[in-house]
Amino acid sequence: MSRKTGKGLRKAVKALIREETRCLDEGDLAAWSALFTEDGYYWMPLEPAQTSPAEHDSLIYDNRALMEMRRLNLANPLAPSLQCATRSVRILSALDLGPEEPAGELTVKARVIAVIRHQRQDCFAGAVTWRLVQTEAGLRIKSKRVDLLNADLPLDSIMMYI
Amino acid sequence: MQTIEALIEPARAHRDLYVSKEIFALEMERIWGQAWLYAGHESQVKAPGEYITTTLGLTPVVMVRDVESGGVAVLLNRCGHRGAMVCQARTGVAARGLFRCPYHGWTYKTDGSLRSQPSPAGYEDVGFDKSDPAFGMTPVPRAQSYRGFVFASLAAAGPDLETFLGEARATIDNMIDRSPEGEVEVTGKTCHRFRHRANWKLFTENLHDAMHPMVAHAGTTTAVRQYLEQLPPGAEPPPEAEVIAPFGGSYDFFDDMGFVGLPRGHGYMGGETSIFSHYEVYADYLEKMERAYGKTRAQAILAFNRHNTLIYPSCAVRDNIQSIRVVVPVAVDETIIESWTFRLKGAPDAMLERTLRYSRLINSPASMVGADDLNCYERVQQSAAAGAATWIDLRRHLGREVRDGDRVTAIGTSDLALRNQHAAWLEYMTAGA
Repeated sequence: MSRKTGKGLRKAVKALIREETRCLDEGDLAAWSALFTEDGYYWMPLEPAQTSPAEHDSLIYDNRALMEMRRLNLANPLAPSLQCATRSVRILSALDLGPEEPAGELTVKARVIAVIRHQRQDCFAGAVTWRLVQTEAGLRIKSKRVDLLNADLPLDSIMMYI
Repeated sequence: MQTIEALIEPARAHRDLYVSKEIFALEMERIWGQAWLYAGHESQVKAPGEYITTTLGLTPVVMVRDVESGGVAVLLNRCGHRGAMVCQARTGVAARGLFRCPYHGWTYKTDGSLRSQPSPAGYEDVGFDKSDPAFGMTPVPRAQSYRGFVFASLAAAGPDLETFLGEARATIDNMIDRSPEGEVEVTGKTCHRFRHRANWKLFTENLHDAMHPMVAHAGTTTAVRQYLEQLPPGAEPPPEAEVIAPFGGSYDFFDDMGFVGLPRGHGYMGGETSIFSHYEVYADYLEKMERAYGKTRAQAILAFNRHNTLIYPSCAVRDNIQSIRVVVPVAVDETIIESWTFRLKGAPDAMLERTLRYSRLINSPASMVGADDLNCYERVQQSAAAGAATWIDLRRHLGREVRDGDRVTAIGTSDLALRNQHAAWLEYMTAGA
């Protein structure tokens, strides 16, 4: 496997995050979850400095199996909460690439504002931290952590990943 | 508005229960102002001066570990001077063992008594009595811990806590007994706080509404089934399936579970079977339980299978998954449901992970299951508010319940659970009238 470095890696990271954002904006969860490694996960903690999803509650902590269950649920007309279409859009900024690490991993951070239209229109803001890894198949997401500004305040239903 | 008695009929309840601001105000006074309400767990305030803020009905309170006595006090969260809220943070520690109002600097001991106010000369000869509790952060009339679970009442008179809890005590006992050390503690400083744009009763009624899971949750349970069907033959199903799948149980499954109605609106489903019946018992956990309690007693603790014990009106306890959902009324059409998660002391980490998994999948605002429940409550709320539905029907299996002393039981899909809550509602609302 030839690992990307320098400018090539930077370009690949940007392309991956652009593609991830497109998948979520378009609700294409099949393509979205395929961007994760087999053991990859999506984590939305409940507390700002939370270090583990195994010690305390999380808003979302989805492995690939749960991502697939959510995809099937969203595609399913039986759910009363899904009679009203969910559409969403995300704006990312302040993309910050950490150093390239020996194992082919790196940390990438960004700020996000996500607007989700469901029965009402909700606006979420927060910080995103990805752990990315270079694999045979290209750059993949090992984990994505989303720290919502208001994770600990009363929240309406969160109908889509941010 | 009609008279209160006219709002509840044997087979139905009037929409005013869900949409009338006058009724809501009366409920805050006559139900939430009288009953014992869940305030918090002692493990949230371990250190001297440590506190949490919460509400009893609409009344803001502070639950604090009193520095001098070491006991837990529940105080009105307002300054005795102009009434400003003293503590706004959800959790904290009273600095140097004192609460200080940030407006004019009056300070209070953690038992609620006034310690000092700046420039005290201005209060000489003006009819000011420092020891008058009205000038303090007044302790609520009654506060008491049941084995670490703190309840408080805004009424000075009424049944004592143990009498009030009655048979619901056994649910709390069972949650504690599931710890090999006989102790539970709250995880973290925060909890899920799920905003419901619906009246609080739509949540409490749904706890024991066994006719909805197979319909309202069919989308999610179908998704899980479809996922399992995709798995290669012989593959281990993921633990998430264990949590979600029972919500798609059949009418017979829920009928067999049954419902037990208790005095004062309390009640629970199950007992012998529940949606937790088929949960895996981890070998290392079982071993620790048997070592702690002996084989027979450990088996009995784990076979205790209640689902959603409602301690009317303020909380629903799930002993076998170690969570409490607290009902926080905000307005006639807004309720926050707070879900607290407990750790079984001395149990393997996998038990807490299971609890957290359940909480994420069911109680989180991002839950697939919770979104569908909430969606349905909001549909009822909107129709009631619009006047499109005047009566909420409650007649399923009416009159087929069985009374035994002060308990009343029925098959699971009976509307008895809802009728039992409404009977308590009427009793509270018309008491002393």
